[in-house]
Amino acid sequence: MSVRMVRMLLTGAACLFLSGCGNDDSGGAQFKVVQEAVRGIFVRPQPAPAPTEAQIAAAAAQVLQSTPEAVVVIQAEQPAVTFGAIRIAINRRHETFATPDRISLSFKEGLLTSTRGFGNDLMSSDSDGTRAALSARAPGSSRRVMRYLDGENQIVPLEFTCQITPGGMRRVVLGEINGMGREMVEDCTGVKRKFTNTYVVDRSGRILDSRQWLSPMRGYARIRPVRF
Amino acid sequence: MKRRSSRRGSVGGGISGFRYFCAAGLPTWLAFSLFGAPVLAQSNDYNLYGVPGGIDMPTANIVEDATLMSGISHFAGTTRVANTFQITPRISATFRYTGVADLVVPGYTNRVYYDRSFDIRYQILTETRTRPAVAIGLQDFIGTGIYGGEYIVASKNVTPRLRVSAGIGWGRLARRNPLGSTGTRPTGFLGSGGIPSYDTWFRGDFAGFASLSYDLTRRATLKLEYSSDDYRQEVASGIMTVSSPYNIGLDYKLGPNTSAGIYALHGNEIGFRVSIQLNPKVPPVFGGAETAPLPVAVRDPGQTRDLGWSVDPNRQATARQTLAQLLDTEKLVMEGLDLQPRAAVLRLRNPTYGDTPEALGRAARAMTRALPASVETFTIVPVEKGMALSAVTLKRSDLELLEHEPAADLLARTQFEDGYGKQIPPDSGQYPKLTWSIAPYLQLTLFDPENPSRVDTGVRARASYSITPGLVFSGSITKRIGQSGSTAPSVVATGLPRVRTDSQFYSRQGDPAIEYLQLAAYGRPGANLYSRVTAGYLEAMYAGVSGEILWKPVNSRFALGAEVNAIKPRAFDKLFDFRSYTTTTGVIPKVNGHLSAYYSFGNGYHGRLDVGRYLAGDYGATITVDREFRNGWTVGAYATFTDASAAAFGEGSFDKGIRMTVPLSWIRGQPSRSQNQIVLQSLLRDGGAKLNVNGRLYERVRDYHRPDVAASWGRFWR
Repeated sequence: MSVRMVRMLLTGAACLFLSGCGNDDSGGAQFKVVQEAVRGIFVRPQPAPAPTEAQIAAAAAQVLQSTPEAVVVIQAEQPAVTFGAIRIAINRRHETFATPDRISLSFKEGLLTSTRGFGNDLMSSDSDGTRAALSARAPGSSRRVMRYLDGENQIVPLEFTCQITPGGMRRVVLGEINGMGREMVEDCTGVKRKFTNTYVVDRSGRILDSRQWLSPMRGYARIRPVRF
Repeated sequence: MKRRSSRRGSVGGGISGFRYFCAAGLPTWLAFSLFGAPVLAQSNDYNLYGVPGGIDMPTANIVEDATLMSGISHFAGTTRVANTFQITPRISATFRYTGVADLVVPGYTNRVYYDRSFDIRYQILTETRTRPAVAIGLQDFIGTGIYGGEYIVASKNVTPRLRVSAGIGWGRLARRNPLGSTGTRPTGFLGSGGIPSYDTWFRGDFAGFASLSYDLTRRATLKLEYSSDDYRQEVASGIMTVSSPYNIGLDYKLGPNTSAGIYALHGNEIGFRVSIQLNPKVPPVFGGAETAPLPVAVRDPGQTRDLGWSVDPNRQATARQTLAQLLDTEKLVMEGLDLQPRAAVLRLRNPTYGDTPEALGRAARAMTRALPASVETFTIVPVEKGMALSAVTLKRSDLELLEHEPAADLLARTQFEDGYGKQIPPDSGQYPKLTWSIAPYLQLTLFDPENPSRVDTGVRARASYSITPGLVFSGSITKRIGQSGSTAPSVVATGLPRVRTDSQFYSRQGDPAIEYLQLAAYGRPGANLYSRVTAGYLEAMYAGVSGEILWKPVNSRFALGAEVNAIKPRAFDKLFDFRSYTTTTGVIPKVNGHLSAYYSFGNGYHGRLDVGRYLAGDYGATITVDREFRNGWTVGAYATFTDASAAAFGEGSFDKGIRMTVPLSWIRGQPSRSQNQIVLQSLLRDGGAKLNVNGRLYERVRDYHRPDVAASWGRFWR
């Protein structure tokens, strides 16, 4: 049997017993669901061990060399994954960063305003009050609105009342970031849930490091600029 | 239209009996139970009948709106499979399929007595601090069944953990110690069965029942009840012994979606129950887990005046090429682009996103990245089968301004127009186009009295060749590999031409089978009008010519349609031959057709009325009501009333059924236009039967019209 014939036979077998073949992926769609479900039982995704600070610094240095654009390191907590993201768009005060596997996050002057590709994404938000308090590096309060899609594709705004309190000074060093900033804590309370974001804000109001809440399903992520 | 991954099969296999027609029901439910991600407030509230209750008796409890429950229970030779849907916050309906081994029923010869039943219940009063919840229910209310009964029941939490219920029941629920009587309860049934047995409701003896449930822990519930059903028919058949009116048992929440119970029943029997539940409003992943879209590229203010590109063919070609590539990355297809200095029209094909706003949103963002800065107006014309389904116009500056704002802001500035006359021709090289697939299939047929569950597996090859965008030659061939529990066909009595009751011969002899092989021409004959003409082997049992026209304004929730079919019966082998129009019980008419009216109520309900001539030549109307979720799920029911008499129709009296659509994207958390359609038809009979032609217009067209797009507009920026 020629290699070509073997290949054809293997392809044929794949058509029959796996999820099908063709250029119309609706064929065998149900089988794909079953396959994924079965795979889900047997193949548990192994959580990667959290990278060390040295590993993050090394990776950040590498990314910096590959691009002249702004870069952040994202350390998500649910699930625990760390990745670098490069700025791909600026829309007035909003910057959007994306990872190679197409997860994106948008920030308005360092405050997370939306995510895409995480699941349970933050679709948009109003957090100008928080931003003002952070810039002032003084106690303050703000009203936040964070919008999500519900199970029926409706935008559901979650409203929070937040108290911002300044703390001590901290040095932040990563990639091209090396500066002193004041720790700021933002306590937000909504109807059903609450969260606490923390920021390190330098004298000019830039956020050097932060841990911000993404969504009910995804919890928090640490967001660490590597280059502004 | 969201592409059907399974053709609705009202033909194929088995005869009378409830039929879970779904190539996909099994994988779907399997997937629910395996993924198990949607977390619901799982309750221990379902009883052995699969309705909210104690152990065997009902309570006034309700579950969260839109909850779908599938459960199985077993005791003393009785197995009940129940599906309960909370239709509205107060109304729920149950479809139940029961098998009782060795039950003695006059005139019934099988060892296992199979019975299907419908319940409906309404919560009259919700519970407050001072008053109990009160519900009224009809059990097995369409009927030939053994479970016919009615009840009024009240339930109240007397402590946070202890819940007390008490009620009175009629019929089946008044077999023990009747308290009194309200008239005489007729026996027998109306018509040929299948008609609501309203003459018996709340008639005859009534008796009291009561139950207690106590939450031992967050997962475990102890239950105790006094039953008003003495199971006299089962006792008389020697299946079980009953020595006590008390039942006691324990329910346990196994996981977020599953609960189980074990019970000591009637003094001598052991019973158990398992249920899974899900809610279409609660997908495994909210908003989907697909990759991020490309963000809007904002123009520099100075650039917008530069029109140099419009006289530079190279820059135009680059813009086209870039857009085609970006759309390809988003799994969308640019079929054509009309690029003017200030405006662009994109001819868009969406093979990927069941939620159409997401397709529009991704296409619009790709346009901001690819098109020259002077182009301010974007018009997207979604096209399917060559039909321009709408023309959606967005201002580029709005996209730039509102990218990070609530989605509704952009909707307010988006214009929807009829696609008629706005269509641009496809680029050369787009057509002709061939798509094909070879894949295994699985068809589950449930609740056939002869054979309660049957699984067919095999391979299906499908191909579709678009000669021009609107002229499509397509076919589907299946070859069976395995079949569990094949039974010999039996002849069903009918007073009408055998337009559907012969389907068992098709499913037995059709292997390999041509499911369909047809040429379809789609078009836009005028403003708000859509048309289809299909010729060939249209479905498993019929060949012929089918013509359809649909009137659907782009901003309207109302549509009208008309369909006329000229048919020729196919041979049982489902290949190329035909058979005579003459059947043992009459001649199949050559022509059938309908006028249809469709209305989306806008609150999640959708109604449809078809009036016309059915396959057997009977005249009448079909009423269909669906609850439509804005993520693609639908749960609904239909009933067909024709001039065929109940006697001519046979068992069931008239055609009716339940239908459900499950979008694959909901299960997988990834965009998809595939969906599984499940039709539970009451009995496959010849009255009120319709042709199953492929590619009907309405579902295909409405997805891109404003009411449907606006309903899930939150997806635009996803």
